Amino acid sequence: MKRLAALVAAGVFAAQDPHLPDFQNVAAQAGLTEAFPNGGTESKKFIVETTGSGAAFIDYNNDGLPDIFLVSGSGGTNRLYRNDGNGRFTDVTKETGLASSGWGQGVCAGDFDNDGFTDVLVTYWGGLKLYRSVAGRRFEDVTRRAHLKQDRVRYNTGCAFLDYDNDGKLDIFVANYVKFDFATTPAPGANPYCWYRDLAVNCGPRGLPFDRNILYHNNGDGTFSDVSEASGVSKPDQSYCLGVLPGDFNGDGRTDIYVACDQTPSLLYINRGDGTFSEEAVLRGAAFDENGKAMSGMGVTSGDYDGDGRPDIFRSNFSDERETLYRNRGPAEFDDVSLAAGMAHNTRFVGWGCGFFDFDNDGCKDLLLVNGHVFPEVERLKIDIHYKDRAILYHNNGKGSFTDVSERAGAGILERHAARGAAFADYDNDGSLEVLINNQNEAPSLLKSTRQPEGNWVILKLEGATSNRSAIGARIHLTAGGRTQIDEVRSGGSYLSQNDLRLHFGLGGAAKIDRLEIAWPSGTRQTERELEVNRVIRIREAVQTSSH
Amino acid sequence: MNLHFRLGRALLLESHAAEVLAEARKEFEAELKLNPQDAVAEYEIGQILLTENKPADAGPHLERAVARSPDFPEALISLAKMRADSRKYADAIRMLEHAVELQPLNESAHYNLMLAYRNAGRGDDALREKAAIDKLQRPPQGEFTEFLKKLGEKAPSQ
Repeated sequence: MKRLAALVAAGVFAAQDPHLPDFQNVAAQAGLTEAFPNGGTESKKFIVETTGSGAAFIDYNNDGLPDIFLVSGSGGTNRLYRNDGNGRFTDVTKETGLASSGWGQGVCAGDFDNDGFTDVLVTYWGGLKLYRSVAGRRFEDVTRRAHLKQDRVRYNTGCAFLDYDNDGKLDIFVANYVKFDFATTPAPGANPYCWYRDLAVNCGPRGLPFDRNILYHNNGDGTFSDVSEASGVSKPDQSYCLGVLPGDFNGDGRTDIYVACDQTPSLLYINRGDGTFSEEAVLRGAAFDENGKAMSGMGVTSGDYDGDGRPDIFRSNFSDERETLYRNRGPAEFDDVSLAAGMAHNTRFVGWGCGFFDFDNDGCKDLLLVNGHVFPEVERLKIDIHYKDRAILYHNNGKGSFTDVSERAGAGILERHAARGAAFADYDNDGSLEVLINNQNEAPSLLKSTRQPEGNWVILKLEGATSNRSAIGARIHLTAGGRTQIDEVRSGGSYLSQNDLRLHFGLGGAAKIDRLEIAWPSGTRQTERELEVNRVIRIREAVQTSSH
Repeated sequence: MNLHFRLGRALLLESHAAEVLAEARKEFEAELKLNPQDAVAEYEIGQILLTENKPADAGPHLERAVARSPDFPEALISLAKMRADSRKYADAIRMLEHAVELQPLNESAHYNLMLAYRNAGRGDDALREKAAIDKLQRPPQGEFTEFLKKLGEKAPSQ
């Protein structure tokens, strides 16, 4: 009752619109009460305290219910929470062998050994951890065995499993941020790169040396080889890289890689199809803002927001910068349409995790991004930029533009946190998507709408046969009610995070799916027709079964 | 002098709130009443209207800014972007080439010229502009010298 009164006093209910979601933070009720440490709360001496950490929805035990994995900074442990199916999650970190320490940054998921169980990669300042699922019961650390033990301390950030050579085995891409070392990094205020608006703050990334990104090729025997040099991935070595998003941006059937980079040009690796990549973000219009300025790119997501059949890209940036929405004018040539799409007015936020998702099931992808400044010290300035801040929710108007509905979409959106990673899934399979957010030094947020969207929906669970078992890289064309939507199964994305590998589509009033075309990474094209809605549909490469 | 112009600029700098844009625009409009030939005030109004996603309203202001000050690079770039959005690439290229002539180190001019060339199908010209951008974007020589010296040959330690 007290909570209800508080919400009414805050004007939350008064501002509600029945067509909008009512997102509430249900983390505590769901059992997500542990805080995830990440450096100082009043000040941060080193940059490594600012960048963690990611969040993931992973169905580790194949029970059809997405579980939760959260990455921790130093002083805590990463945690796996099993989805109990009743709205609650149970901490199974210890029994699954995932207790950890260190400066955890990102997480990504994929079945690298094609045994039918999803494996997990965690990135750290310091190295990588590859956890192989043992029959969905526990995980074993196979980092060394897989040849992923790095030869020096690296500041690994975003990661993704992808099958860049379409050989049916998942490879791994890892972004690197800076060369950082506690002993040698200058103290706050030590040089011009260690100041923010007259505040002495932690140094970097400017002033700290660049590092290179890494591509590991899956050898098919449980080991990986570093092919960064041979593939061309290591060539652009003057960007501070964070969020990673693979995808077929030019529609040639091969997986490209977009990397959001901080204070430096973001990167777009175009897959040449011969085992090499060509970095082409500048010429393709996806490196800068519309003025040719490098932004402080953090998170990245992709969706076909304008329904033209091409994947567009959204990147979250720093305060005093606009968020960037790149419209894919095809093939993989982009225009910065942030202003025209109604997105560019939220310039006081530092954005991180982000995702296109259809919260009202109308068939148009909406967008959420979570925020929080890198410097807790900013509070001393008493300005409108804050260390802990609310999320931003954009509703897709269906005509190529968005409306900011943050103030009208529930108290969960308005809660202030130093948010970083964000992951999306329908964890209770009711047709509406939930959002998991990793908040620095606090318990995570779990945003769930109390209002069920009106539109119909479907969730697709794809399983590769010739293609990698996780179906990562599979591209969908779904036609229902006269509208065709696209999407792609992706690992990585958002900010150092992992969404549920299943794909959710809002279908509006369509009572059936007329046509579903899947372009598998193997090259196989599979078409299904007349599928029922409001259910989870499992589709194996060339074989289909239905549940619910 | 230019009190309204300065008030408008100060408002833009002090807050990120959307309503401040409207206040600043009023100041620039007041400035224009006093100084109708003020190309910068026209440009600022145009920029605010673009930020407010009102490109149709912004266009005439930017046109006037360029007409009154044909060598005003920022106004040329902004107007050229509007032309490019309307697929009038020849117009956009003409204005952006002029902006590059005026300010050879202006990244925004080179970047938008590169995109205009690209969109007009002039690939080689786009590549030439990209090379100029790459040069301008390169971090200053010696930016990391001191830090790398400290790192020396040893691997960073935890």
